[in-house]
Amino acid sequence: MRRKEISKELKTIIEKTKKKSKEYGLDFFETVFEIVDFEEMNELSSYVGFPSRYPHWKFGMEYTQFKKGYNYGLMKIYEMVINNNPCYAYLLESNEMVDQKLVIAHVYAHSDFFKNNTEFSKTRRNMIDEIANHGERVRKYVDLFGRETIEKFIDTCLSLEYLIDPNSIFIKRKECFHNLEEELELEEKGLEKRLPKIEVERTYMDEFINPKSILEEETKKLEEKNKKTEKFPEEPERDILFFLIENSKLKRWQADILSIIWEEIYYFAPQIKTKIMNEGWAAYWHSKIMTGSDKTNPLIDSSLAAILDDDEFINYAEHHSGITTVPRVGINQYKIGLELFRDIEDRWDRGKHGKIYEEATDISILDTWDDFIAFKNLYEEFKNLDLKEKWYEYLTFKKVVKKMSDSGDLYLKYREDIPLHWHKYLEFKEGKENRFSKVYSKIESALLENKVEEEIPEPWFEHASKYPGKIKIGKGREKIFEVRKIYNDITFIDTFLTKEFCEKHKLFVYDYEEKNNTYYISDRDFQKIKQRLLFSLTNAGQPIVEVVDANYQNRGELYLKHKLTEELDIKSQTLDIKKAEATLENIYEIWKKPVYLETVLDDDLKIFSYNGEKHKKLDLVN
Amino acid sequence: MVKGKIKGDEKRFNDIVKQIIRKDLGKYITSGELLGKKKDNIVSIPIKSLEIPRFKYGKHQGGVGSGEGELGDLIGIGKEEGHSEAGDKPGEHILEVDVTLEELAQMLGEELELPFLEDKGKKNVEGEVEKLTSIRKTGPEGLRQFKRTYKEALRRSLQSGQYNILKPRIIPIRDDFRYRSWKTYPRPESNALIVYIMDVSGSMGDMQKEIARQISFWVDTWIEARYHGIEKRFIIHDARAQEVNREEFFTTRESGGTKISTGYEKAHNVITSYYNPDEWNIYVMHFSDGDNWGEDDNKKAFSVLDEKLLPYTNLFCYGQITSQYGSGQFLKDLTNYFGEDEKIRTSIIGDKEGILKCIKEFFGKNEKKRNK
Repeated sequence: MRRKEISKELKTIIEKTKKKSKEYGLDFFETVFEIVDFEEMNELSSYVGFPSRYPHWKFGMEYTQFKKGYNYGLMKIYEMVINNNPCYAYLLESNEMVDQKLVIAHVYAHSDFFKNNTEFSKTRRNMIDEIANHGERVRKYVDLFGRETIEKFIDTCLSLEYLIDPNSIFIKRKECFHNLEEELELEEKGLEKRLPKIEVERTYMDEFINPKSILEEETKKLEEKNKKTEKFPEEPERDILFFLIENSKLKRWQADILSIIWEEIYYFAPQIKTKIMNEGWAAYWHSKIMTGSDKTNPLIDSSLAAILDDDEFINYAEHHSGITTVPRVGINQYKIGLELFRDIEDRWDRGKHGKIYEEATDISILDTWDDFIAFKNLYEEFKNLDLKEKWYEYLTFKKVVKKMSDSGDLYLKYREDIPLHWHKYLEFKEGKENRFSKVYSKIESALLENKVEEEIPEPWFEHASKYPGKIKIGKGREKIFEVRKIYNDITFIDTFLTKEFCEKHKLFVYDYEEKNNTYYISDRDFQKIKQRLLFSLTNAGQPIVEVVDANYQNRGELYLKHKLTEELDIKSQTLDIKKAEATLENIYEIWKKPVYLETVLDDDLKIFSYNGEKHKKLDLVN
Repeated sequence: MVKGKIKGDEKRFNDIVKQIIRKDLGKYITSGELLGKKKDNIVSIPIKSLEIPRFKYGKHQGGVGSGEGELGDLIGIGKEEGHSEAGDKPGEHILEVDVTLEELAQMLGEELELPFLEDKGKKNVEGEVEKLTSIRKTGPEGLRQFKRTYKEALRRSLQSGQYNILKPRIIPIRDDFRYRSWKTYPRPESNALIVYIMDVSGSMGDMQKEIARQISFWVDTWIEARYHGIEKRFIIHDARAQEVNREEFFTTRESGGTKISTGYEKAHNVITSYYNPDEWNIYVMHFSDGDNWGEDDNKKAFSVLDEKLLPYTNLFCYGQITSQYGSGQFLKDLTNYFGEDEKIRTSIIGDKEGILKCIKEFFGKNEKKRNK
């Protein structure tokens, strides 16, 4: 198979973009680019970025859909990046150069996100090798046991794929899976409870950290505990997949395959948890790098130039807008993430956060926030008459700057940036040179001729006095880097979604009307929007199910509970019955004893059960 | 990166899909929507049962969107099974698979275990024939296939996002070009001809005609799929018979009295006028509700069959479609007259459900003459 040559032109672009990205502060793994054609891109997309996976028809299904263009939706796949070190990225051969530039910038931002966001800190960075290994193992089993047997079992496992605990990524991964023989022996000792070894490198230390004597002691303790037939598991277990691997009587190859599914879903889980942020971050940066708009932000000292040629600019705008077009129903994940990052940057540039902002109620403060901040910082330094003088100076400064922008002496992208210049101007007066020094020196003289004298609104004093200390401005860029590090989609939305943002972007809650089989706009209230968004992000919008009792009726039967939420009314949390029953059958396949699911059916609580032959629905007697 | 590993998974998926379609074949076949389509026509079949079951909410879920609109404004229509129109949840659309009519017909053949039509050992014509029926990526400009080339370029342009609906401009790249190419076909060892005869008299109601058409259509499509270059003739009759083309056969609305003998006579005429029975494998299919104009015409029809058609046909199939107006006498008399004749196969079709059974009874392996 010939690998496509990366043209010289493209190599230059990659280098250029890489350099620029680093200048902006992006921090990424070494990234390897490959050019692929259409078919290859479809294939990669089906395999979610990896060259191959274990054999299964679901990848064939994805491929068929990709070929038809169904999966693209609004997003036209230009690229594919995987969380790995080195990072692999694929570029579509037929992209025009302007697209390639955009894509490459986009890729570096993704790579930076993978490397720095804490949700990914525990993911395997050599997943490409690991996944290849998974494929080999499965293929080996296919050779040993036949394709049909293996495929059927994988179907069973995939049914349980999302029954994990997305918050447990940081709990040490237990290394039980590779010591299966040992564990199958332990089975003999009553309840199939294994003592997880503390995760260690498989080195000589193993002996010392889990010495046999201690293990034996712990096992004894557990056995005594079990004799009292205490509840097992003690706490409801969300990671059902893992629970099954640990506690059900699977053949070695079955446990191995289930563990492969488990490993892979946990690898991908952080990506699911941070989709909005990740895409927003990448869109933010490809836009920034492409158009070099840092020049227009007075608070940023660098003046990195754009990467685009002028005539590419229009093309770029089209493509960029293609990526960020807003669908009527549902949100475009690129757009909301992108806009939130921009909003955060803007707010932290202007000190529009914290108690001083959240607790402000006065209209005059909120409507002219930048002015208030300018006042606030002066208020910290000056009193009485001096304060007044300084305030007039500020007002005059604003007038002069506006004049200069009108006459072309100063480039001003937004009128709102005028107050930002003030802060730079103060720095300049303190002797700190910056890129506006020339302009600012001109302003000094102009100030005398353009005096503005307006009073400070009364409420401002009180509000300013409540929160001691100067307000930091210009922290936007720093803040978004911090945000991309420590937040995930849920905390991101929870922390940074504001009423103003919802209004500005016309967000709404929509609901389903059963009678007419339609969706309609149901609410524009900020709290409701936020609630609904958070709900749809919790557990990827899937119902939460936990193992509550693995020794139900003292017969080793498995009792699961659908954890209901207060976010929705009971009735609308009803599960799809057919699918639930089929899933229970799959769990039975693995547990080999009757399985129960406590859930809701319309208005009533019910227990669905499956005993290997029949499905039953019983009322929950409480 | 190794290209092509996905092909195995793709094939596996296609095989599974075909199995699913085959299981539900009756549904698609008898739905009647496909009647009249050409064999290359692509049909989109929704496959619901290929989803991996999970714990999922059953009811449609709402969500968060953005845009203009008042409270209460309609923004979307729900699809089946709790799938919303929302574009933010990938993979929730219903799986639809494209199948050509020809593929469906082939599945029909496999499902019903229809064998090759038996060759009665007519004179063998040897040789191969080359037909420009295939497409490849390279070739002389003279054989360039514009439509396919354009389609490829268009598809690529759409999927890579370059297509601008306001300024549509398709520029094919080298990979897009398609050229006609030869495929060598063995000349069929035997020539085959099928003659379809349909009773369109008054007693044949719309439903009866519909059933007759459906069976004819599927048989025709299946045979087309198995044999290239098969000949077919279409005859309709009430008290008189006439030869029509395929389209008319599938749409006509006559209604007169019934004289089945005229249909058989016409068939014989057409066959002997255009074909040499020695060189052709001939199959005749007739549909009626069995309500002929009296015993006399029955006798006449049987003698035409016996003396003229049966001697050179490989197979004569009679499908009697039950109708509340028809007595169904014809089948009884036919059976009485001919007894067990290996060249004659009959079937009674009560309703749409009987369509597949009929095809199987006509063309299935080792089927003896059946009478229910």
